[in-house]
Amino acid sequence: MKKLVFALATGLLLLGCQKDDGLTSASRNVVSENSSIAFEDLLMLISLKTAGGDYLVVESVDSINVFINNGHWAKISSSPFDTTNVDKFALGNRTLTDDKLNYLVLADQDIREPDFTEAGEYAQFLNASYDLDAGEYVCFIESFQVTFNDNTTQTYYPLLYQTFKVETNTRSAFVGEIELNID
Amino acid sequence: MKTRYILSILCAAFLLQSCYKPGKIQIQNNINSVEIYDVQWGDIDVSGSLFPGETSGKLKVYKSEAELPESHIVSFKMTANQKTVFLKTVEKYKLEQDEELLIILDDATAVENPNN
Repeated sequence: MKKLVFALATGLLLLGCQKDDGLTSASRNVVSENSSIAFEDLLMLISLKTAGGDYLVVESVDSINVFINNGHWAKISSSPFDTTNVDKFALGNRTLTDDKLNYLVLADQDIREPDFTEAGEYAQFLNASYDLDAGEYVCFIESFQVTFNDNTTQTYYPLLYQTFKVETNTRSAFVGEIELNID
Repeated sequence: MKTRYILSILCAAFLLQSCYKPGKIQIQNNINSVEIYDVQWGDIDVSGSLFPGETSGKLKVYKSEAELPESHIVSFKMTANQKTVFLKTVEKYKLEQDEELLIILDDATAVENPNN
């Protein structure tokens, strides 16, 4: 019996050691020579304000197309949001609230990873990832999508610029609270 | 008699040795926007750093290094943007005796990372 318990405990320990590092094979094989902390993501809080002064309630804001300076940074969705406890009301195919409702957006740099069978694809991958050094940058929100109660989807183009600052050796930067107007 | 025998063996060995003609190998980096370095053909170091468009010098491959003809893959480290990856070509490149082989690595060269 003791032996069985011991074997099980050992097995559990070994299983616990097999961690998924969450990296793609390409990222795992690429070594960075930069010893400073790599910049990873932008943080922003966005709210969707209607023409009537209310705020749209959705589970997430999708396909937010973000550019930094002139380069494409990511096309991401906001973190999923449980709207159960939001004081809200329905209007047409929309759910709205009187209070300002922020959606959290964590925007990692989105680098398209090809199949990696040719040298040129690796070269493209190495050159595509760029680190943000300390300094001022402009974040451009080109477009985003929302899905309404009747499952219809609408794309909006706020074309909004927002400046933000990256400090030395930081992993992320807060772009700010951004209010996006929708019709 | 014994001396003559040894001499003939030495002569034969010398003749065989002198018949071996080393091949020459060089590498050209035609991959866009990356530097490659530590370039090897099999286990033989062919070149240090090569910038885009640069070609290495011709490296003579002597019998002590390889019994030509031999075929080997080319391995190298590719670096750009302070990031580096180790790659091997899928294709093997054959070098004959007395041949000058120019291996051109470009964007379309099939490569793999042994870790995949």
